Amino acid sequence: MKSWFKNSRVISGENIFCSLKEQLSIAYMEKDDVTAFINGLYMLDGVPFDTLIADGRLLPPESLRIFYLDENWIDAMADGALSIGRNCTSDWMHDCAVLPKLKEHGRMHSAHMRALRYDKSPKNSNGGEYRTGFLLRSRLVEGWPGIEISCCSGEQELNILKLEHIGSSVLFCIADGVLDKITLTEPVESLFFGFEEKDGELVKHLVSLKEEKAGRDIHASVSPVFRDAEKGLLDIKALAGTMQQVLEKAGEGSAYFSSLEFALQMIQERMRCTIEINRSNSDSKGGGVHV
Amino acid sequence: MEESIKKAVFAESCVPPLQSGEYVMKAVSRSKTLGDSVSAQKTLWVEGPRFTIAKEDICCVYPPENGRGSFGKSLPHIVFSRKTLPWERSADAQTDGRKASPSFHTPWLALLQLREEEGGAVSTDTVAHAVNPDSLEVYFPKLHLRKGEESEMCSYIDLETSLFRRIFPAYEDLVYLCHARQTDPYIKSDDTGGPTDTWCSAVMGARMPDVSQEGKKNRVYLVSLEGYDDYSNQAKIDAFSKIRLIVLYSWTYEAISLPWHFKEICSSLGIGSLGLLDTPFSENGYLPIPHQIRNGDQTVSFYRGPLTPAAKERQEIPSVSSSDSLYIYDPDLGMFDVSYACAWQTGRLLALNRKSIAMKLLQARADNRKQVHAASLQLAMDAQCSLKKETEKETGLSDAVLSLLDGYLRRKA
Repeated sequence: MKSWFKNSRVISGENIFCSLKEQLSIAYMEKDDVTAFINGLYMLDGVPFDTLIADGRLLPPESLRIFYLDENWIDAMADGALSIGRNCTSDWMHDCAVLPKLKEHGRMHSAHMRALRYDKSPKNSNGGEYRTGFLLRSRLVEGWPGIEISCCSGEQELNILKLEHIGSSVLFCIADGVLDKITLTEPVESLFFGFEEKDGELVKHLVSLKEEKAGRDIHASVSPVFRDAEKGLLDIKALAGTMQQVLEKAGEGSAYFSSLEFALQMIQERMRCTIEINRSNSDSKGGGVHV
Repeated sequence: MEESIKKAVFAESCVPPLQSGEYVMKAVSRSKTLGDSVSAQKTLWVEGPRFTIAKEDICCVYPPENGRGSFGKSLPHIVFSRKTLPWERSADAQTDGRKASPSFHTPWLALLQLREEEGGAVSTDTVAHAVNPDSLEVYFPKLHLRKGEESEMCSYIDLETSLFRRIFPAYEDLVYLCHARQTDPYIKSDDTGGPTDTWCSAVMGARMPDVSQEGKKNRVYLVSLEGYDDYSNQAKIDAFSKIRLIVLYSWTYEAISLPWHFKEICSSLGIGSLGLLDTPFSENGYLPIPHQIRNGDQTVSFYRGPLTPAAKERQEIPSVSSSDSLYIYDPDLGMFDVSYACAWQTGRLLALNRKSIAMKLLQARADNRKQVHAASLQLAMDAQCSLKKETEKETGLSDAVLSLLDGYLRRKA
């Protein structure tokens, strides 16, 4: 006589959750904070610094360290996060069936999170097989908090998946792909104003204000005009006036000369530093800095 | 350079539709036929920073706070994440509020830069005290305070009038020292304001820093000029020996004559990959760490964070029910690799830390189990029905006989 329950899958060894996987509404997949949390795990959000870097000597002051992201580590972390309340075998069976998709989803979406937040379309949709990044601990981070970063792999610019401060002096960046060039640029908002030095004298080289070539050097310069040379106080109005005269004489002026034109003239050139990483020898040693 | 110039967008000012301050709204309704008119009046205040500025509104300063470098050729400046801030009030005396063309509004903020030997002690007091100097020797313009503002705290600095005349930008210069600019937040750290607004405003100083070989301290103060009007052409200020300025923010930096700037800091960076310590096995990013195992024994195990010096092959991490299951044992060394176990535990703690997420995870699992339970019952039922039909076909026995038989078999079992 056959048992009534022989065909039943409830007591057979097979995972019923697996066979019914397609029918299950995975509530985690909804667009809510759970999804955001899991996506965040793939970007190491909330992971304590000591867990990221087990020893401070790995990241000494004034250093830049490049790394590969170990996604197995993150998979293990995601499993830990989803393990709460996993008590009996059927909980575990459920998780085995449901979670792989969730993790895959988390990794995929973490690639677009940042771009979406900034309302940008990702530069290359097919992310790299590997994710890499760098940690920068330097006075650069403290002094220039808005420092601009771009990461390249060969000629291709990589999507930046994460770019955050850890404390005030460490910058943490993850890019989608294997980076071999990092460009650090002085931030636009701290474009700063000042003079150049020529033969021991302060001068300001002027740039064109003509619409189509605004910002080009016109090989003319003015000297600073002081109200009080001893105290170093400038006469801004007179300086602006002189600039306007010189520009007009050169035929490079504009109808107005307000704070905007003045700021444009006073900008000092932004500094940009490119760091090339040479992975060929011993996999990832050092690199050249080009400023 | 070409490209970066294209990216920098400037505006000469960004004046808010309503400046901060007191407004009186009047409404009059006239009726010709009845000869009556009804009027109403309401006072309203447009709020805005006045005696203090929130730290969040300040985007960055240059030269960097406590920075030391070759800043001798540049003018100090401060950038606000609030694009209208410098124009929310005006240095002009309050007339009808429409004195100058709106795009040439004189800002109410300016930078004062002091050298080390020029003093510059900042005092803190309530607004009521700050705007009414005790001494007749100190000048401060008349300001109309809103109710409740008197008790707020603020900082101020008392400066010799003669020094003020020599080092403070002239009134007519102020309009040139302020502008708004646009930035691209995508290429910056998320902690610098985020994607909310791409415009910010900047205020520049007009005094060159004091420089020496070994570094001279320069102190920069962001001061309010509300109510000062055209101070450069007012003789009455000179009758006072001191002038009081409200300080909204201040920072110090050191200017040295040696080249030490962004470029030099970049070139001096130590570049390498993570995990090149002079310990064995550290080329893989592993570090030996003390480890107390469950039975209380002390041992040393290897740990490595998620950031590794070399690429790791993807591997399947199974779902486990405790972090111990993810220990990896190296029989050659007789040591554990606890990296993934730590990762698992970190994830668990992160999820437990977020109560709403933990609840949702549990709820989803419970819902799924309920659904699967129902589905499996259905499956069992279907199986039972089909089996019954088969049996009926095979044996030709009726339901009643089968149920009797079933009861018998069960009892026997």
